[in-house]
Amino acid sequence: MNLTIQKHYDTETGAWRVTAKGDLDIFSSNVFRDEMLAAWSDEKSDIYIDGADLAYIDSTGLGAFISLYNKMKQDGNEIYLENLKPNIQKLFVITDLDEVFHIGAQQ
Amino acid sequence: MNHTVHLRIPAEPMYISVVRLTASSLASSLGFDIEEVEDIRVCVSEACNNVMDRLEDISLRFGVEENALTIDVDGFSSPSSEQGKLGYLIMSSLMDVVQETEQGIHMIKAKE
Repeated sequence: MNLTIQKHYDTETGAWRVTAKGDLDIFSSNVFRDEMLAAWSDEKSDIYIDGADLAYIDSTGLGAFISLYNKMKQDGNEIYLENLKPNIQKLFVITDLDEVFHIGAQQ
Repeated sequence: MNHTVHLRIPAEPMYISVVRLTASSLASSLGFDIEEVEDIRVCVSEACNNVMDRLEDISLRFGVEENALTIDVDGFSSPSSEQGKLGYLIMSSLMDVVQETEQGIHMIKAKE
């Protein structure tokens, strides 16, 4: 797959810390969604995604975040996307999804 | 200059990166800046995502012009799913022209 996902549950902050490296596209987005959903079901808490090495996203990747969030919001959990590249952040803004997720750009 | 590059891939997700590589290579050669190349990469993928589940092959034509890149993807149809609509919104926001045609979809990105 063109996407590498690393995740661990940080007991100190009580949240998931995830890095996604590569392309979140039609090839990888379903696997990403299922893997994150499984993790969240094990430990229901907020999810922080470090997007520093996320090279690409499109509507299929955005859709993965939406369906993940739709499950999480019943338990009041949120998704934070940090260190996003400008081209990726732009897509969240265009689609108004920056109002659904907590978006942070690369410093 | 007015050249056409034809590309035909099996409608399988693993080949979508080939389309993106081709698109960014052509866009870079034409002198689009990094942001524009990214825009083109996303939009050509979105057009292919739309077609992916319905056809066996995806046929694309890249029109290489002096100051613009045009992209045609056969078999595109107006999206009904939420995700498909997001894709369409992205395409119409990032390309200069997005036009549904009898054959599919026609997009133009002009150099600034």
